[in-house]
Amino acid sequence: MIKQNLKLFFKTKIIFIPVIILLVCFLGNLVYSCYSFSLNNDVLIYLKNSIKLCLLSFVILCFTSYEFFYLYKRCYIDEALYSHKNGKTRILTSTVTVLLFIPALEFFSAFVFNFVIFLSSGMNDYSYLYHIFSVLFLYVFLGGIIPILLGVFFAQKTKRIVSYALMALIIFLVSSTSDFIPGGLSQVTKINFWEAKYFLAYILPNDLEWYINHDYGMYAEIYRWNLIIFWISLLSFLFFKLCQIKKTALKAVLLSLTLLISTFNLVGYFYGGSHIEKGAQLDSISMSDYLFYTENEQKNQDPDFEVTSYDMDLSIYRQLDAEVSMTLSDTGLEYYNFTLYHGYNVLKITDIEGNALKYNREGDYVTVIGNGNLQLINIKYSGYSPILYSNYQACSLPGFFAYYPITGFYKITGDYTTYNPIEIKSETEFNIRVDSARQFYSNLDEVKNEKNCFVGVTSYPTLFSGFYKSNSSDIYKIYAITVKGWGLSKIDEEYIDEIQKYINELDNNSSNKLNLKEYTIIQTNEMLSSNCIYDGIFLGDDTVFINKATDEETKKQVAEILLAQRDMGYSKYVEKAVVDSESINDN
Amino acid sequence: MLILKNCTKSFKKTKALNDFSCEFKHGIYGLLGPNGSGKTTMMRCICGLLSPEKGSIECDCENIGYLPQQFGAMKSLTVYETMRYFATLKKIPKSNQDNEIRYCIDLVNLSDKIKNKVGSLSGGMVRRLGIAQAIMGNPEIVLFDEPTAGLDPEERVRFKSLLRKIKNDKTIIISTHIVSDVKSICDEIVIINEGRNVVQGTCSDITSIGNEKVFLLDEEYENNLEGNYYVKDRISKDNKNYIIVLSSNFIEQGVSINADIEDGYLCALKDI
Repeated sequence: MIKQNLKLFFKTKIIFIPVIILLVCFLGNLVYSCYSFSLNNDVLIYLKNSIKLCLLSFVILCFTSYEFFYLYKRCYIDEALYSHKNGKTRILTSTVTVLLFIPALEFFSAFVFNFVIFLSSGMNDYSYLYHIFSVLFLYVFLGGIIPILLGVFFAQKTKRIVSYALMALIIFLVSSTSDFIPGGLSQVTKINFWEAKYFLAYILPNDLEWYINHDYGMYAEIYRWNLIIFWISLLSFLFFKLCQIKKTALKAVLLSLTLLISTFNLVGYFYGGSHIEKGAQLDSISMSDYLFYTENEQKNQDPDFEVTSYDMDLSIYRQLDAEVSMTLSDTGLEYYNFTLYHGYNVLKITDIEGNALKYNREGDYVTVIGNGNLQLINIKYSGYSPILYSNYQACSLPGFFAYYPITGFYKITGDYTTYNPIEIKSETEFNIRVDSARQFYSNLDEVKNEKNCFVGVTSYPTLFSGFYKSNSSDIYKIYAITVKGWGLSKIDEEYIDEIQKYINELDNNSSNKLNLKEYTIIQTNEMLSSNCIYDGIFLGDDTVFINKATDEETKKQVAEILLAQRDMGYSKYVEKAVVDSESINDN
Repeated sequence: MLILKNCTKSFKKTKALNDFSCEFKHGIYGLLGPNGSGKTTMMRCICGLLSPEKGSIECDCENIGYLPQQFGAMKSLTVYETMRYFATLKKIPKSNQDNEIRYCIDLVNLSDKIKNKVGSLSGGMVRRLGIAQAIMGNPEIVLFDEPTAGLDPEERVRFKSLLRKIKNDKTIIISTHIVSDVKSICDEIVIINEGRNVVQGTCSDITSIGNEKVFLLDEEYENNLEGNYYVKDRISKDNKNYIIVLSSNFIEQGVSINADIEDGYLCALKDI
């Protein structure tokens, strides 16, 4: 039947021509993007360009599917076809199968092109291939099934004019052209209508205007999979209802299964998880954080106790789920103040024996009330930051960010444009276990033969994963971003040697020489660079976040910044740098 | 063997089938009834396009050929390709498909059009193509819903001979409201009205319903008629006007004439 329907597909111009136009556009875009790649040498931009035409694909597949199924009605052949044993089921399934060739072809061609680009880029991180596969499969193939099933449903159930009106409405709501509706409604009613909009819009990759994070890749978080699978299974449920399946048991199984999958994924979608949420400007904090900090005052208060050791069990899949046990230096205090980013919801706080402790949560601040003899505090929390992400795709949790309870009260953002690295004054013992499918890296030592387990003493327990790999040598401990990107080169021993050479030339402090051998060197990702760390360089007590400079002058500047941060501390250096740049601008 | 037992099927408030029961054995059955009497609904129920709300349909075969009342085909396909499409749907083995297609196409006299696109065929030819697809694969039950609509007289004759050719060991049901179509070919006739089986019998059984109920009389006596009667026709002869009346009462002023199957059908339908 598939072969017969394929023949019918090729012979029916109203169906065939739009598909040819779509495929020509899709392939043309892939070929043209090769030219762009030759200029920017950015594999991720190429991947982004590959999914740029998903909306066009959605429109044409919706139209084609509708017309294909409506053809049987229009030609008055439907009754003659459906009167055969399982006729309707066979016709519907074979027609859907034929239509599925279109997104399959798009997916396959996009994957082949991206694979070739991957090979030509000289990258050796093969996990990126999986990323290509999953992003294309999600948006191009699975995303392409939704309009096909919509077309089937409308062709069977509604009149032509009503179908076209409904399809146009859906396309309008799915595309970004309807963004003004939730925007306007939210302003007028003060109710967040964006969630309703995303419920449709996230079936397309509609965040393509955002800049790319090369450690993160394209946005293909689990909740997006949930949403797309939810729509597919819901429409499949309707599809099976339309099919005249004679075996009632089989029909019941299919209907129950699709309903179950759709319910499961709907729950999954609303359960959410860590995802990136941009602000009004490229380098500003996320919109939700902006709104939060305009209404919630930030505090600064040094702690009057210390945590002598942290024992952290982290689970990072959809988001960060943590259980942190802190051994306290002072057992008899009335209050214990901590800073924990407000995106992490505290679930439970207990003492060493598991007794619940009273606590007070105000935004980023958690105050645990002492019981007279508190040796240990155990906090369970879960959540995420929209900028310092932690999910299955990638994780960017620098030690200067309150993703774990940091003693005392600190300001998380300085102005409303960046997150302030918290300068932690004392080193503490950390024992961190991360449960995740991905490989994690840290400035702490990895426990041998135990995946994602880290121990050591530090002020900044940094955790990160994603498109990172160890580029360490005998001399330096380096973690570099593996994905080739525009203006993004992998940092290596040679580069660090050059920076060290400049440091040696410029360093006047003979008693406290800055030697990069003693640091864990982490390549700064785009989010940290634009939203957290000034100039993308941060010098901690054992960690350096650094970007790759390409010319000698900039390399020298990197060395100067590192030395300035060592001498002045990070925050004072930033204050001075901001004043200096403003005075240059004034002049 | 096909048995319909107390089938009821409604569309909104209208009962298209109302407690309909009928039994079909091998042979050609004519399904007679006025427009909207439930003939098409009954056929759709038999071939599974509709499910009756009440009652049951018992059928000892799975292979049913069906020519719907409105049959069209994909204009972009040729006659042969359309038949191939149906042959695949009917799961006719690939090796037999070509022979089967050509045989059926030949039966409906479309062999010279086999390579023509369906879009270029006339309405009657498309109807014949519909007949061909219905009989392809040697189905045990064939349902024709107004098969002769749009066919020219020559093709009607050809259709009747086609039925005689394929009738062996088959149950063929022809739905029509044209009585003359069925009288020469049907073994049995089922008269359906308002979704009910009014009467079922052979042609002579149906004809006998009209026996001694058909009268020719002068038109001027029309106003004197009493009881349940139906004016079937008006004719003029020698400057005089006559009417043919079906009446359950004997009409003294008229002349009793021989009933035909149409008279029997009308008497059954009008309860005369």
